[in-house]
Amino acid sequence: MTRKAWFMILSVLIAMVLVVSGCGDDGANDSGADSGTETDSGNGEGTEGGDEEPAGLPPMTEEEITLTYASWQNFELQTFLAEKFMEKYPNITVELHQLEQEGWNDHLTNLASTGDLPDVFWYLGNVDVPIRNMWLGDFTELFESDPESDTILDTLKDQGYFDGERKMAAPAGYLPYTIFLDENLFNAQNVEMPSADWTWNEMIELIKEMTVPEEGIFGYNTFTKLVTMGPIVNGDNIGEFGWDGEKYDLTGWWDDSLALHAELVRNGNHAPFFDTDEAEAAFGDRLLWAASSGRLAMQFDAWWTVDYFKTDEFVDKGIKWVPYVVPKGDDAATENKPAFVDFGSISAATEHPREAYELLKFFGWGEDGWNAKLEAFETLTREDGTSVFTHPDGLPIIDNQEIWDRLRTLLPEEQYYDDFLARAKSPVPLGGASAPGFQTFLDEVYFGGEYGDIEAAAANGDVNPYDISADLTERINQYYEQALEELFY
Amino acid sequence: MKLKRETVYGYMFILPWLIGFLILVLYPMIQSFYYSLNNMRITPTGLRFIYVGFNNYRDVWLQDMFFITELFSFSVDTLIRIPVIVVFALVIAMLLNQDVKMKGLFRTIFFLPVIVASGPVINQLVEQGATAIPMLNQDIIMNILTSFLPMWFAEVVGNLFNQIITILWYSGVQILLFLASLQKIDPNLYEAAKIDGGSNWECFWKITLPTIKPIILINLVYTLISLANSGQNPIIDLIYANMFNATRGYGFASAMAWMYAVIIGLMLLIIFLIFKEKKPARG
Repeated sequence: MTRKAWFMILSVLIAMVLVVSGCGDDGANDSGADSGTETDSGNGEGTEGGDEEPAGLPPMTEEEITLTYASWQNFELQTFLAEKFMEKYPNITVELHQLEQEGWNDHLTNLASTGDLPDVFWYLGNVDVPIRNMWLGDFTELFESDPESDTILDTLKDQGYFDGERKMAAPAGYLPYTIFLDENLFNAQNVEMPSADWTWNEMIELIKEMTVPEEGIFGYNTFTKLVTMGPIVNGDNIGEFGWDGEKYDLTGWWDDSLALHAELVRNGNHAPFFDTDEAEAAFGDRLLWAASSGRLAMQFDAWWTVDYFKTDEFVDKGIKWVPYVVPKGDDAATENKPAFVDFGSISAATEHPREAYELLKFFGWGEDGWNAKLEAFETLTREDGTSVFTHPDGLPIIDNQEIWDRLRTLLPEEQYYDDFLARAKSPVPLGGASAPGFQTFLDEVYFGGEYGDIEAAAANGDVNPYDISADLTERINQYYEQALEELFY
Repeated sequence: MKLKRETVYGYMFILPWLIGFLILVLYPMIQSFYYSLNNMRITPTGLRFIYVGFNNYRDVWLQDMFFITELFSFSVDTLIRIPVIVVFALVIAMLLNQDVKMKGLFRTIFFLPVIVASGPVINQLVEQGATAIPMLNQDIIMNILTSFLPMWFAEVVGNLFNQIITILWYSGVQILLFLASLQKIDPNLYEAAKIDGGSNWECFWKITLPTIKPIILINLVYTLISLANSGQNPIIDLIYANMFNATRGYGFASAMAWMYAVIIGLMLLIIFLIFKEKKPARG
């Protein structure tokens, strides 16, 4: 073999090694955590934070440590909060993981598989994923010895005790269900706007009254659903599908609500569904969102849409959407309302559970954290000078009137917002993130089982909700029991 | 035993491929098979396994209602698409094999989609409707098809029209293979046939097609494999979704992937048995 041939072979091998090593990645950088957060340790500021330990909680470490954090909150807000936390605890460096919200739990799974699950993280939608993979740390002692835990809104305080004993997750973000009424359309139809204390039956009557087929006006359109609202506001439930804290019951208000929705759809009270021939016939554009048609009385939606409904797109069309809370059940004893509540936890493998708990609290329900959040809502601007937040990103998780009042100043002047906030302090989280087995039941039975999509089947008249509610009750409770077993795996 | 220098050269040249195969194919396959026999938990402190034997394989058929329907749909789709792609590739290859001006440019144009329209690019193109023929009204086609075909089959054929451009884009490599094969046919054969009065049509059936038959088999295999692994394939999406499903996970998804591989293997076997070279009978 000639020297030239050996040289060629060696060159090829070296090139391959370089390519392979170039394609690899240093595990230290996997987290994408270099978010520009400054580690301000040693500047002396905020060192008194260590002296402000809430009574009952063990002291925070004084060693230099690093905590990792992952949530899908606005990243500028996260950065701001992380800086505030590091000002308070200068010996702690917070590194933020920046992950795409789409496929969130998949990203966490990938991080867990490489041993890089963040010390503090939010999980998306389905609590069965972190339960099954044993990601959730048990912070019962810390939570129960923390005086600040008592400030959490009553309906959220006990969330995260999945087995009734161990606190393994806590609410970290709250966006209420919101029903928007087009005030201008109500005025045009000479229909009086409902009271802020409206009830379920009043809402249903208004839907029917505001449906005017000859003028092409529809009573309501759904993003959020009657079938979710009904059991919570009428049955005083503390979860979806008739959840009373121990078991589900779909034979109460779930079947009534679904049957009602199906009836309203068939009677033409519901706006035509997006991208259908009916939508094209009604609006002349099958892709037009019913809420921007000017011919819709109520849009069942969520808090994050408040800001969007203030834009020129609606104002120019003469649409004035005003927010209402989901109405109270006519015979209900509570003000329970469905809400989008995001949950966070600390990693079961974190080396600093005490400090991770403090970080989870700061970003979630802590008073200091909420003051920092409000400061961010008020002051954060982009490079071009525009505000990052034209609208607060969520409502407080804590029952602290000063915080609520300060948040109120960030909303429009109208009375509707006062009324809304006053009635939004009993949020009930949706099942997926708060109830073991719920999302898996939805995936495997409710939307992907023998009936197909049960809600669509009911609306089409293929399924009678009353015929299947008992069977579904039995099955969802089985899913709950199975998921609980996983907790003790 | 002393190895010949040429043998050493040979092994050295395939060494990168061998290393790649061992690390990137064989090892993941063994790992995937091991996963398929277990329920897996991806905990923050490492992977945990619960041995369940072949239960995952059973559950793929009994618990996942989408797997069987997607598999059926894929099989019917494939049955229609493979002939379309291979015949199209053969026709284009024969045209590109003619002595025309700028044939290098034409060859490039037909091969370009293989490079450009891969992975996320093809997904974007499909989502934006760039893979359908704009002049074709899908609704009219469906109405016509459903008037004489059963719905399940009409949908497959309708889908073929809807994605005809994508399907044809899949033919770049096949065209290349056919072209290489066509260029190897001895022109004397055609010349002799013409002298004997053979028409072009007869030349195609009697000379071209028999000569390139082994390449047809290769192209059928290649097309099936590329369709089976395509990012557009809903079964691949289903396997991915099960990987991250709360109650199923990597074990179940691995079992599903293996079952899918077995089905593809059976389809390959059928293609091989139909199109393999038959040895002439002796005597």
